[in-house]
Amino acid sequence: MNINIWTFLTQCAAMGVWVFLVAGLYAIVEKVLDKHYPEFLAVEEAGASQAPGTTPVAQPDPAKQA
Amino acid sequence: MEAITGEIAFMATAAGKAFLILMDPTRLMYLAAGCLMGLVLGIVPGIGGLAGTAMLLPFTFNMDPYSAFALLLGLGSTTTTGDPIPAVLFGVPGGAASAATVLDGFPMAKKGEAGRALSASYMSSLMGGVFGACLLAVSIPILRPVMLFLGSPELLAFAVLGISMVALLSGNAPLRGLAAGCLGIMIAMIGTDPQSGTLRWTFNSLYLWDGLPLTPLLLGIFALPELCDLLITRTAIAAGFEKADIYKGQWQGVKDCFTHWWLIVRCSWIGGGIGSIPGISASVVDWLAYGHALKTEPGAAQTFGKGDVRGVIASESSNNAKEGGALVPTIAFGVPGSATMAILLGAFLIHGLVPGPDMLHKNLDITYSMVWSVALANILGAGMCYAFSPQFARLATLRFSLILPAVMGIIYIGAFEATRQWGDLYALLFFGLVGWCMKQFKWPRPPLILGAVLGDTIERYMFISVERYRLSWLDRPVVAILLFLAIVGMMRPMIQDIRLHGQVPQAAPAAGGRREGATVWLVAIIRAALIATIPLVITDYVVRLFNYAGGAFASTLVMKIVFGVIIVTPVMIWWLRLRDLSRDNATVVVVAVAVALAELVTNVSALVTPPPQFATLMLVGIAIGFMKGAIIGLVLLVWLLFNNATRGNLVEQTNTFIADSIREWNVFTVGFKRMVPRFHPSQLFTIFMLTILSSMVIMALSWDFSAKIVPLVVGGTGITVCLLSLLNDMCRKPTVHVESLAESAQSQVEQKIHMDLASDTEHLPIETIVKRAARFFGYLVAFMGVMSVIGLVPTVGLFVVIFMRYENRERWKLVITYAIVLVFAISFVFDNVMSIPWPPTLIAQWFPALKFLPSI
Repeated sequence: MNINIWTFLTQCAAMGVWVFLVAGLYAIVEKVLDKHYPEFLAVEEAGASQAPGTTPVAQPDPAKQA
Repeated sequence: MEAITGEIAFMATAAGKAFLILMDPTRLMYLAAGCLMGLVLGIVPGIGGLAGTAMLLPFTFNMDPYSAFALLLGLGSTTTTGDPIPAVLFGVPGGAASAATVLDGFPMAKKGEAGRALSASYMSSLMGGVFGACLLAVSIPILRPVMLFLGSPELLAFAVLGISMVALLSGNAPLRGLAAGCLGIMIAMIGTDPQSGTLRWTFNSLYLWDGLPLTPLLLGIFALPELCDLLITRTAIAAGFEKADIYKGQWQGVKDCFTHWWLIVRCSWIGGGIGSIPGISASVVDWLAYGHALKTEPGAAQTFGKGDVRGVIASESSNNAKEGGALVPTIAFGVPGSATMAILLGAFLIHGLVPGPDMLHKNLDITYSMVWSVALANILGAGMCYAFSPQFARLATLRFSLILPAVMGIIYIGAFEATRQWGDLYALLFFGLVGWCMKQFKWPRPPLILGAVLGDTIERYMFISVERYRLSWLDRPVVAILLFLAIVGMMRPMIQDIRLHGQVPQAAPAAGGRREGATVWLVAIIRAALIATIPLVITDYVVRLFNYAGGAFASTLVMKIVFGVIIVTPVMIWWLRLRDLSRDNATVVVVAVAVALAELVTNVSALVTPPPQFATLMLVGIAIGFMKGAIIGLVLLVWLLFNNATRGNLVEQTNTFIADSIREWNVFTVGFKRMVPRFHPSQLFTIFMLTILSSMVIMALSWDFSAKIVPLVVGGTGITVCLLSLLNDMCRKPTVHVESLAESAQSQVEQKIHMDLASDTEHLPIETIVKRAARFFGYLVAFMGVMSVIGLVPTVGLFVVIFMRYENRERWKLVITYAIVLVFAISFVFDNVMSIPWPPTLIAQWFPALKFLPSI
């Protein structure tokens, strides 16, 4: 483990700025798309993907056998 | 006696040493970390212990074996401790292993006894897990002397048997499993051939020269398909439980476990025993234990399923015990007991350990450290569950949009750790697609991994066997028996299918009337002879052993008669009583005389049973045994015919036997004629696999003899099996003919056992599945593309934002917090703490100043 605290903090700051930048850009894109093409970004309902009559969660995940 | 004392002292020393090594604080920390991850993965929907172990494996590369196995076993042992939490609180099993816990755990929670149910399940998990570890510890001294008699041919046969067992038991279509296993072995042989230096299937790529690394393969086959299905089903559990409920009644739950300790011992024994049979997976163990409890516990039929704590205890103790059981064949024979164990076997090879005799002699302390790891992990895991139940319960309600981005980042990092080349990521993507298709089309995946892990071993042992023994290695008795079992296993599904086609009422002609005469007498003699053969052969070998060891107390003939009477008579009497042929005490004397007579008549030098050195000689021995059996049968027949009461019964029984055989034969021939090919789109994947296997075999044809022999044998088998499977699929009738309720229940149980790898997306329209899967793999490709430009850590930030907003419109506050936390966590853990190297990026070439950022 070799941590230089100042490098680490700069890295954190840079990555934080990056996340905000991406989030801001996406927010703008989202707004524009929602206004002109409302269906384009519509979220698929979790419930809609379930078969009628089943529990909210499908069968136990089989590959989860440990 | 002295040898035994020395052996015990030696093993106690190894066990003590292993314990001290494991008590090192760093290793304990790894163990605790593994436990925590195991619990979390067991609880979080969508990712299980299997994918978790695959994800952790690449990060153990730099550890010593003790720490690595502490981490991996910590994870593997505790996934089943955590998964009753969602099972009890929400009625949704966290993993397949706790499906039976729901039956009683959820009703208990509804009655307000959630705390008691959870506490009982933790405690029984703990006890079961420790029992499993003890089972492992006890097996080691028992197996040690056995290991000395196993040579390369036997180990090869074990590996082949292991793959065929897993293939047969883990999938609904065993032939597909075998084909997958063959493909796995072929994948293991990619790269430079160790004997001749031939480059096998490297496609002129330097990346493949050293062979395909295991990690991207594992992650692709097991982890990516789970993530993809998570996106497809968009699972979500609504939160809704009282914190007070979880703590209420905890003490009662602990007390329940001690009251029902005998149930725990029995169910742990079931778990450990079943776990050690390769191929039977976790999803069956809990049902078997639950069924056992239902049958044996007093009053269970009335209370089980309505919230009986014994139901919870039974299934939870068994599924934790299975881990220790599954380790036994993995360590001793290199045949993994389960898919998780196949990954662990990969870890063995990565750490330079060879499973088999070495693990029980040279590396005994590592083996014992595994025993301690499993035991400690179960104790730690249960402790953590007691302490943090409400927090863990909240994990079960996590949405897919929160789970997926973090896991995806870790999978990429893990895959890249294999050789640190871009090829790792391409391999990950390719096998992710293959794995998902396998899951969708119900091709069992564990055999593929097993083949890939055991491929090198199989090739090495086969090479050594052929070099050392030429072809006579096939004639070694143990090898012949194991290979015979493997072949029977391969043929069984085909035969079953033919029978299924023939099983229509009119297919069976009415059995003929009651007959008497030469045919009936002959059949009766053959039946008796068949029963007597094996005990007679055993008698001969016992006598041989006595002569060989110098313990002969009389002439060989006298010994044969004495041992024959001792060994054969009880078996024959038991059979006669079972079939209700004779209950007369005088029969005992008749059988004994018959045995003596048989030994006397065959006492000529031509009919001496040969020593069991070779399988063919054993066959001769069995034939001689059958001859003697026929003499016994003849004497018995005369005796039974002599008496009127037994005569009628004998004729009756033999007639039924003949009629049954004829009916069976008719079913078989009718079924064979009825198989008409029919095409279905899902067979396209079988054709795809067939194409891959065929093209690999065609490429192999031009290599050196030593480089191509194993690929051709394995590939040929794979193609044959794949063709059979295709034929099977095409001929399978669309609807299965179910006659009675009992049969339909039986088929349910078989489905439960066999379908454990199926996708849970069946309720969705195909269009939705394909669309969402395409989107998932689109994300993967885009992730890789962006990663090559701006580096992994910034890509994670970008991905989190887009994925969470686009897929589920999460609140901005959550999105940004999550993105920042994840980016910081990944860069801290992997860049600062573990200092792993990152793939080179384009942006760093353009702006070298940016290199101070992690992963750029």
